[in-house]
Amino acid sequence: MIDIAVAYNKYKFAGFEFLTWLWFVTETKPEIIEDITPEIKDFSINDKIVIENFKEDSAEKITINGDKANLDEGILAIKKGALVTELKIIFKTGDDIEVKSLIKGESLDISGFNVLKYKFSTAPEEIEGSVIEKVYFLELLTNLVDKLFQKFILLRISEEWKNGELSKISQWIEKRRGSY
Amino acid sequence: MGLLTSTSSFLRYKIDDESQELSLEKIRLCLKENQFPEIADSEISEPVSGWTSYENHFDPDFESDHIKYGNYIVFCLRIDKKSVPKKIIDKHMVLESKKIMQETNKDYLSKNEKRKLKEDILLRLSLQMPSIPDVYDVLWMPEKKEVIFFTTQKSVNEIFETLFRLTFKTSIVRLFPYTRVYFDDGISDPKKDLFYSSSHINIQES
Repeated sequence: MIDIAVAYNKYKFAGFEFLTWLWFVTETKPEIIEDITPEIKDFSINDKIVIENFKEDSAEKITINGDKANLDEGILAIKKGALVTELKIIFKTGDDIEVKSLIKGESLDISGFNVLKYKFSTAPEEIEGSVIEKVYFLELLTNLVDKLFQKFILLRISEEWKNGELSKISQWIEKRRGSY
Repeated sequence: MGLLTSTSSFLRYKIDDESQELSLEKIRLCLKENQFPEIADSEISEPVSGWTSYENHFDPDFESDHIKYGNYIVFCLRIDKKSVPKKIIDKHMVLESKKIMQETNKDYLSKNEKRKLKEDILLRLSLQMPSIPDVYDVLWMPEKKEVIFFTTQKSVNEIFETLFRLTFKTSIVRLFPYTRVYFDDGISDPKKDLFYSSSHINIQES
């Protein structure tokens, strides 16, 4: 294994590309996500995307926020070579419980992990049950991210990436741009 | 922002150690040996850290406190810090500078004299201030050889990593894109090598 600090910086592009690909997949072939993790449904991008362009002399950063966020500006930035650096996602469990979370691209760390409208009791006699329940939701999310990231990496190093997926992403960008 | 709070932030670590798994009793012993030390506020000026139990942050007893929850081990990192408000430091700087200048018959203090005075004031005031405790949850999943630490603050993560390695004599590696690929048994070694030799491709220039 190479030095951790070097590895962190050298390969953070993979996290940014992964989130950009995840946005593309969510809009064009969402069935991939539910095929990977049948325990979840209705996966979508929630109300926040951060996009950064590292190629410009002065790095450009766009934050798109809000329930009905207009993603057009983000698509335009992707067209200019930017990548998604943070992405907020939301999905439902089989019991229709909503889970949302922000994924940070460079580390794939999780922020704002929230099981909506679900109260975890901290009464002493109920803590163990609450911990087990919370870990269930947490593992739904981490397993989803792990499986999607693995799928992305296997695709990214394959011939299919250069010979098919990249042009599909380009077409998606053009189509999205053409829609406004 | 912890394990059972409504909103959580966390990062993940892999235990990179093929040695025999630690028993629950051994984990209890290791935590006890490195538990948060009870030191009087008047005796410390620097941050102090150590482990504490999930249900008993301020008076832990690792021989009897609950640390096993289902298949998981849960405990906490406690860090106590002193914080002296800047306005109090500024007040003491003005008053004590004036006193020193009068005593030494000088019109000003040199840069080094001011720096030394500020350090002395900060140390003295720190010893008088109560510590502010912060507690961060740790979730250990032995079956997955994974540890989840509930904060993404870089300085706290560094304290956690150092203390965890020291306590359990084991290696933990933070998970991020490179290490996820490194530890992923579903990606073959030749495919890992392809990833290691890859670099970013601009989608629009491809």
